Amino acid sequence: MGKQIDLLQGTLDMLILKAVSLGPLHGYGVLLRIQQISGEQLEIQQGSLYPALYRLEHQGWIASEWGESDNNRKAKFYSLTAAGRRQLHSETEKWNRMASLIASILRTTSEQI
Amino acid sequence: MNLLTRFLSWLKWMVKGQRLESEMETEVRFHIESRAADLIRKGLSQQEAMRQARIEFGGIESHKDAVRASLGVRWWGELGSDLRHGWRLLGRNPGFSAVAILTLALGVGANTAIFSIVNAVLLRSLPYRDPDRLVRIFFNEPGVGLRDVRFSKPELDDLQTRAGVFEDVTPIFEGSENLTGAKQPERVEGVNTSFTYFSMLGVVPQLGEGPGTNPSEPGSSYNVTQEVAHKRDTILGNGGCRIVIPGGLFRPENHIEILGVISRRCLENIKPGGESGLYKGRLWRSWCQKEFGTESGIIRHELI
Repeated sequence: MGKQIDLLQGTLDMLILKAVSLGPLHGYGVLLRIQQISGEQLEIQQGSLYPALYRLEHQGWIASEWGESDNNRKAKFYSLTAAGRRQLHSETEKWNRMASLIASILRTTSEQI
Repeated sequence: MNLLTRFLSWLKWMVKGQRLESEMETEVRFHIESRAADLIRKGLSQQEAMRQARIEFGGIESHKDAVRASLGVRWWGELGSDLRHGWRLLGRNPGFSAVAILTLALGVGANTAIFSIVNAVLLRSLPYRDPDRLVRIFFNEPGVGLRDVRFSKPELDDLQTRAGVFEDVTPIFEGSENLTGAKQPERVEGVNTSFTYFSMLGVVPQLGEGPGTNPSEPGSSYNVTQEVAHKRDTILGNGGCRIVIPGGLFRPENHIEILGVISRRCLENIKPGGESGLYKGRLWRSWCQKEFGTESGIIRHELI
């Protein structure tokens, strides 16, 4: 496993939306899911996870419901709403455009100018 | 839709804040215990796993505070804390509290009273045509040390015809008359004035034509159809005022005829207020409209 890297600022909301789009998750599950998808390479500050979750719920992009976890404990599960799905789609498009733009800038050589 | 969702969420926190905070704490504890369980599976002792999980997560209270801040509801909690703190301090020093509250009450009361006067005198203009040209005439007799002296009908005539300062002058004094001829006789409290009063102020009745301007043609009473009667009752129910004509200013024994109805806004300023009346044929103050200039000094000079 490679060295873990810090999350880029402003991308946590998008990653949370993506994580819960794959199925309802509790807060700790969101953290594990993102780390799992990233191949344990992304390190998420736990202090920023819950403010982000509550903010997304406040925006109406995710909804929460109390349920039972795998170990039969009371846990709050988050799932994506229809508005959240649209938001995820829009954020993904924006990210892909930005990423390809930056990549093309970084690939530029002196001969191409 | 998004705005509505956010408003409802904000409202939920305002109303059910305590319950939601308790749920938040349950959620955070579940998070820490789940992390500790993972660490135990990796070989740490339960005590060490819990310690490490807590360190990784950070302070629960600071976490809750960050959540409140992210939702924009922190000020609500802070306001409650400040109020509770203030209340405890007041209870600890009752003497100081009494003085502080009394001072505040006096300050607020004084400011309210001053603003009421400024609002009535300076900010709200009279609801009449050319309100800046309306003045009240008071007679002073400095030789005998009298101020605000009532004046007589001949003096009023002089003001109207010979002063050369006023476009129009009308007398006004409060009085009451008996209104009969309806189902039930009624004592009507009102204002007695001259025929030109309404035309001078530029007040147009909401119903009827008003008294007109010529004493020989005192206007005609409006036709009280069912629709007009309903409208009149509505205006009167809202504090409106009947324009009545007693057959002449100095003949109150004549019968009263309703010539129109004016709005409450006009009524509020139309009555002179305070002590007034007709005493031995002397009127004591009058509305008038200036013809020249706006300086009260000029008027005073002209009248002297």
